[in-house]
Parts: sequence; C-alpha cells; structure tokens
Amino acid sequence: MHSLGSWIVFIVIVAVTNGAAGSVAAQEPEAATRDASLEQARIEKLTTLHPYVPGKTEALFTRAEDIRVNGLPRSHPFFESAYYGGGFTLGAGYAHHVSPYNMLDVRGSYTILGYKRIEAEFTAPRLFHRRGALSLLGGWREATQAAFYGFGMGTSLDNRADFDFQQPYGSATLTLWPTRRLLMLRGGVELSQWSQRAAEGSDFPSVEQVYTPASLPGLGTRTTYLHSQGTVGLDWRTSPGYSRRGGFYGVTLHDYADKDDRFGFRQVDYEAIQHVPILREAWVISLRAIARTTYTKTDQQVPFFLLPYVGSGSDARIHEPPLPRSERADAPGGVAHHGQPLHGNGGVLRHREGRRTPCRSRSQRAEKRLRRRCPFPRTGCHAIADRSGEESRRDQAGRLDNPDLLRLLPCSYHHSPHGHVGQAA
Amino acid sequence: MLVAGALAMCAAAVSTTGPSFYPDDPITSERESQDASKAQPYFIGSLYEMATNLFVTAGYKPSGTRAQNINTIDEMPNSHWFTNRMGSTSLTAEDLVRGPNRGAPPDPSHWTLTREKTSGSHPGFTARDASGETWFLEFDPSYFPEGATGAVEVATKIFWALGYNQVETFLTTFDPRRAEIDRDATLRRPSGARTRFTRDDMNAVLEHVARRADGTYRVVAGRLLPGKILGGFQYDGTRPDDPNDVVPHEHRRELRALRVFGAWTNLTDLKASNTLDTLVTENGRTVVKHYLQDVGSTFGMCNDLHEWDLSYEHFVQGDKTRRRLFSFGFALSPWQTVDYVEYPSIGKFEGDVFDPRTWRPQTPTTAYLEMRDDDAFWAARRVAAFSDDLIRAAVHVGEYSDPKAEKYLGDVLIKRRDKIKSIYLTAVNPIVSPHLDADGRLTFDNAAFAAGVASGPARYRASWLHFDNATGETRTIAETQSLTTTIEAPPGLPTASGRFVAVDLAVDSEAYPRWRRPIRTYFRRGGAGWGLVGLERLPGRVDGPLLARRTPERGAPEATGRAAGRQ
Repeated sequence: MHSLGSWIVFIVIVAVTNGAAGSVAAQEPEAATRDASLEQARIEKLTTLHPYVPGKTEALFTRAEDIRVNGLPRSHPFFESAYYGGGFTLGAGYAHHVSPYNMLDVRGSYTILGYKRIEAEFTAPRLFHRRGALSLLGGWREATQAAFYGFGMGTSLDNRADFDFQQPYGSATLTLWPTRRLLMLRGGVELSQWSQRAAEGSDFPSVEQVYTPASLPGLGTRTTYLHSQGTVGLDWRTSPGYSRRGGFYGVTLHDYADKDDRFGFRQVDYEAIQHVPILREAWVISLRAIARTTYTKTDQQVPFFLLPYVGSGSDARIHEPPLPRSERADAPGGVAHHGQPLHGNGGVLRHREGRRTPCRSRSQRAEKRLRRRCPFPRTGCHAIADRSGEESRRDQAGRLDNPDLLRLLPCSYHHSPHGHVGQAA
Repeated sequence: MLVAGALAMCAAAVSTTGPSFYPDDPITSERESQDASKAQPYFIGSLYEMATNLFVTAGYKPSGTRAQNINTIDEMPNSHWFTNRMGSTSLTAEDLVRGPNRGAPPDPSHWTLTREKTSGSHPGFTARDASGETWFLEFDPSYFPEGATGAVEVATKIFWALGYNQVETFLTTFDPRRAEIDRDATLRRPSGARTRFTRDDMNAVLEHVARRADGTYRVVAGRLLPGKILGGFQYDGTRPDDPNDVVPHEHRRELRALRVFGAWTNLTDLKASNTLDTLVTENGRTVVKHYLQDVGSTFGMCNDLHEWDLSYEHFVQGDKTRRRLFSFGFALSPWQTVDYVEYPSIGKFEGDVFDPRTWRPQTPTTAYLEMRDDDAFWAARRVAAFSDDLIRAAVHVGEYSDPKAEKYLGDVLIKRRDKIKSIYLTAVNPIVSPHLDADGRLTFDNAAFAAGVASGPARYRASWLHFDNATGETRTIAETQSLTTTIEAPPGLPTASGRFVAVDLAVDSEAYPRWRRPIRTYFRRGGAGWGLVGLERLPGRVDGPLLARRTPERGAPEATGRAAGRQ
C-alpha cells in the first residue's frame, strides 16, 4: 500500500510534467492540415538559411577544373630532363598569359645526376586565323655524365664512358595547317652551341680518357650550329594527344650547319603513327615507326653526341658514324649515300601496367625472337599495342601520342647497312 | 515506481504524432509559400560533381526511404519542380508538339552574337534574333548532322510531357552571312580575360559543326529563361538558401524517376550543370523554379562519336573494369557486341538489347540510387501513357530529313517503352485507381493488364479494416475477394462521416507472385460517400511521412557541419 505522501508526489509530478509537455506543445502547435504541416517545415528552415558554402574538397576540384579548362596554372611542375640518363627529374615552371592566347613559360629542371635545364618559351598558338602556331624557345642545359658505349649496336655495357656537354640554345618554330586539317607544315631554325667536356662526378671513365679526337668525332669540341628543319605531314588523328583513331605520316628534313664547317650534317626523319581501334575502342593498336637517316656534308663529320641513338638512359646505343664523303673509298661515284636507318624514340609494345624492360636480358631474348619474326629487316619495325583500361580509355589512347609516357619493351629489330645485326632496346 | 509511471505518462503526452491523414489530404500541389529572394547563384564544378558521384555516391547504400514529396495517395503534387501532365491529364499530340513553348519562335533573318554559349557541351552561341530576343543557339557536330539539335527538340517535348520544367526550344536556321557580332560581345579566353568576340571566333565554332549545302546551319534555339539564374540543382540534399526546398532531393520522386525516364530516352548525362534553378516572382512571391535544362544527351547523342559504353556503364565502374582488366580485355562487355543500326542523326540507340534495369547514366546520382520499386512503377505508368502515335508525334518535331531515321527513332522509343512497361508495371502489385462508392463497391484497375504487359487469371483479395486516424490502429472487419476488378465490401463498414477504413488489396496470380503482397489503401467517409485518402504500394517498408525526414543541406558551413552530408 502506498502512503499518502507517495500519491501526492505522483500527482504533483504528473501535473508539473504534463504542464511542461503542454507548454512544449503550445510552442509547436500541431498542424491542422497537411499544408500547415509543410508550412511548419518551411518556417523552421527560415531560421537556418545561408548561402551555399563549398567545402575545401570542392574548392580544390573547382581550382583543378579551372586549370583544365583554362590551361596551365601560373606555377606548374616540369619533368623534362636536360638529356637522357639523368635519372629522376624534378622541376617547376611559371606560365603567364601575355595576351588572350599567347603565353610565356619559364621553367627549369634538375635531375638526380645533376643534369640541369632552364628555358623560357613563348607560344602563340593562334596565328593566321588559327592556321598557325609559333614557338620561340631559349634556354640552356647541361648533362654532366651522359653515357657513351662506343659505336654500333653490338657494344658492351663494359665499354661505357661518360661525357659532359653544355648547350645554350634558341629556336623559333612555326607550324602551319593551311587547310586547318590534314596537312601540316612546320619549319624552324635553332641557334645552339654544343660544348662537349669531360664528365663530372661519374664512376665511369670520361670519354677523353678512352678516345681521341681522331677516333671520336667531336671529342672536346665546341660547335655552333644553325639548325634548320622543315616538316611535311598528314595528320588525321581525331585529336592529337587524345586520339583513338587516325594517323600521322610525316617527313622532317634537318640541316645542321656548323659555322666552322667541321661538323655539319643533314638528317631526314620519317615518322608514321597509325591508331587502329579494335573491340569498339576498348583497345587501340597504335603503330609507330620512325626512321632517321643521317647524311654527312663534304669533308665534315657528325659529332658523336649528335649521332642517332637507340634506347635511352643506361642502354642507349649510338650508331656507327657515316664516314665523311672524302674518306669513303666505296662511295659510288662520289654520290652522297651515306645514310643509315635508325630508330628514334624506340619501338614500344605498351600496355597499361607495363614497366620499362631491363635492358639486357629481355633484349637478348627479344633479339632472338625478332631475328625470326621481323618482316622488315632493313627498316626496323615498331609496334605499340594499347590495352586501355575502362576507367580511362580516352586517357590511355591520348598517351599514345606522348613519347614520354610510353613504356618500352623490346620488339624492334635493326639491320644496319654495315652488315651486322643490331638490336634495339 | 509511481515516479516512473508519471514520467511515462508525460512521455506519452509529448510523443503525440498527429493524425495520419489531414482534412486536406491528398494535396494536389506543393505550395511554395516562403520568400526565397535571398537565394544566391552558385554553380557546382562539373569535375567535383563527377568525382563525387563516381567515387562517393557510387558507394551509397540506398536508405529504402519512401519518396517524401509525394502525397498520401502515392502521387506527385504539382510544384515548381514538377507538373502533372502525361498520365495525369489527357495530353493530345498538339499539346505534346507544342510542349513548353508559349512564345513566338525566333526570327532567324538576322542574328547578333553576344557571347559564347554558357552551358552544354555542344558548340553554340548566345545571340539575339532579328526581333531582339536572346536565345541560346546550339549546333550539330559535323559527325552528327541533325543529331544534337533533333535530340534537344524531341527530348524537350518528352520531358515536358513527363512533367519537368523545360526551356522553350525551336529548330531554326543560322546563316553566318546574315549574322553580326555585337559591339559589346565578349568571349572568355584561355588567359581568363574576356575580350571582344570576333568573326574569327564565330568561324572557329562553325568549322566544326554540320553545315548545310546552302551555307546555312541548322540550330536549336533555347529561349532565355525568365528570372535570375541561380545555377543547377543537385541530386541530393537541399538548397541551403531556399526556404521552400525542404525535401532532400534524393527523396524527390521526380528526380528518382529519372532513372526510368533516363533509361527510356537514354538521358545519360545526369548532372547539376544540366539543370537550372531560377529565381522568379509569381503572385507577388519570389520562389525558386527548377528546370531540367539540357536534355540533349539523349537517344544516341552524348558528346562524342566514340562513346560505345554509354548507357551500359558509368564513366568508372569498378566491377566491369576489374573484369576486363583481369581478363586482359577478352571478357567482352555487352556494349562491345550490341548491333546498332546507326543513323548519323540518331547515333547509337537501340531497343532490342536494352534493359532498363541495367541501364547506367554516365555517373550515378543519389536520387538515381534511391529509386524504389514504387517510384519505378509510378514512372513506368507515365512512360506507358505515351501511345505510339504520341511518340511518333514527338519524334516528328525533330524534323529529321531522313524519314528512315525518324521512323527508327520512333520504333526504338516504342520498344524501350514496352520493355519498361513489362518490367516495372509487373514488378510490384499493379492495382491502381481504387474507388469505393457509397454502396460499398470497390473498383480498381490492374495497370499491368491495362498496359497489355500481363495476362492470365487473377484473383483479387481485399482485407477490410477499421482505421483510427488519430492513433493509426487498425481492426479487422472481414476479407472479400473477386475474380474481377470489382469487389463488394463486407457488411459493417462505418457510415459516420469522418470515419476511415483501410483496405489491403492483393492479387493472386501464378505468373506474378510478387502481386500477392498487398497495397494498402485508405478511404475516408464523407457526405457523398467514400474518398480515397491514402495509398501505399509498398506498405511496411521504410516510410518517411511527407516531409518528416531531413537531410543535412548541401553547402552548409563547415563550422557547423559537413558540407555535403547525406542521409
């Protein structure tokens, strides 16, 4: 049995709390209609109205989108090394629009082996009613321990000697699309000075310790070149750098004029790129080939550091130099025919997860295979196969046009005009 | 113990939730009563939205919540988002062809370009016509002649009929010989600066679009919307600066239903920048009006010639990607084997392999993921309301020069409509339009049978219950059944005005076992008899009473909460 006191407490609590509840209900009166209940929600929101405030992540993405739409940010990374073999490269640049389309970009890079590049480029991408683009480039670079393994494709890694060079350069390149599509013309001049010097900080002997100026053209020289070039090409890629179909076929003529008439020469580059989409563009087989032929000038030599090479970094091979015309006893009728076919950036079989192939073991195996298979023994063959991932097929296809992003596997085969079999990494 | 009892009584007093049905249920319009004039423009970045949808939203687990902007009979009230048209009213072909257009078409005899086109991926301009009205002109890419413009025109009519606010659009002509550049026209350059718009800028656009033999260009002209442009709406959360926007967008049925409407028309580009909020003043009150602004990424038209996997996969879809990755691409996906009959003006659009359940937009949205079967059923009924003739009338406004292309587009839309009907109208109990007359005779329709996508014997069962509107309690009266869509009520139904009965309606069909799950209907006795006040197609699932559930707003200041919190 409860005491009277307990009942009094009970009644008081009920009275007080129900009164409190009633006051709460009075503050938020129950709506009598659906419309009124909706109105309550709107009135409640009135007290919390505020403008949209993007979060930090959204702000970051908005900035990235602005960069994507409007081009480079003023500051940007720059990963281009001064020369091959310099190791990991870090750099930065600062780009600034000097007019609505024209841009000045100052940039520099430094590699783990001390290679240095600093340059400034002015680009005018929209000339002659969008039929032309101009690039003015000036800079300086130094490679402190570039590798040289001797001439020919059969040399050993043990033959490595290193060299240093410095090069100030300035160039102007004008690209024209007379019909705005398909036909591309490019011309340019470059003034540069190559100063070949003893390697610095290398574990390998410097070239002057192994070779003499007589055995190695250009050793220890300082050569000033006026390099002029002209390109004619047909380009029907749907978007250069972002293409899954189409192709590019072009020929570039180079003339290196040495003001001292000692190391002048000419080159002709033949380049072909063909994208073949398959399986509804889930894959793109991209075929790329480049052949480079070097011609000496009368009584002049090609300096060893400007001879065409195959590979890059620690596995580059420089082709044997064509003999100066005066020294070639076998030159028929004195006609300049001293060319040698050569691969440029390297043949590539690329896939998304590809890694750069170790230079020797795989290349030796590949050589055997390619000796059996290559149908183009005199010109070499390259194949680029792209198996693009689903999440970024367009990205992947786009990279096919960017040699810097290509992954290398040995699949090219070279038969030099001198009769020995060479194999390109 | 006495104290505890007192507190329990107190709690009971506080927790009163109000009636299930109000006197004005079911409402037919969502009144936007508060002044929204302080709403500010904001344009969400496409990159952020895409990344968020692909990598965050894609992992979103649907809440199963019932749509929250529907009325109590599972229908949509009219609002500044949505207007009941097809399926609710009898639209004629003339209505459909006119669509949202109320004003006169542009006068193309002279165009004055004022700036670039401000939205959409297709090339175009902002321009004034000869009468001085501002329009947004959109051209066809050179590889899709008549494609982009036709898609905009046709899809605008369809989405208007489906109930969405649409921009007035007209197919017209642009003749560069009779166009000039406004003296004050500017164009944003790569440097970020806006400089004078030149004729060369115009030519740069025209070089990449489809040109007619006579040197003119076919364009679709969109009329400048009235009011202040606020930017696009998002598919989740609410606008933090609009007091009338109280239902989280992912729980708005018309946005969920875009999963069905999008599948039908192949509207793959669901994103904020293809929508638009405007601030308009109506009846002395400033409110936000919401548009599906750009529905041109429909049929086979979406940005690019090479998009084979559109509508089959999101831009990034981990499971599909992994499958191809680990099979080195040899495990073919459906889009790699579909046979397309491609017309340049239509693109990759087909109806034979199409399955609305596996259809995918470029990126998922929260509203897309939140769609329930009852939302899909509601949407499918609207799609089903498009007769063959109406579809062909809508397609005809595309003014395709190739009659085969026009016929093909109509054929495919009809095929896809039929698939949507057969899948979504049969996926849940399809009883619709229940009516209880004063004599106690309950009649209704079977939407699946009516649409011709199901047949066979069916027995209809009705469980009758007393319903207490104040407490929500029910008490069984009796069960009756019929082999037709008319069922007699049992004796003992209340006769007093203001009383309620609930009726659970199930369908016994061997072919469709899901129909055995009853829908619940509610009727209120009035002076003239019984009136339908409630319908739950999926009773028992997570239900959010209208506007009762709240989601953190998008764009809330970070000091007070997460900016993009979701429910």
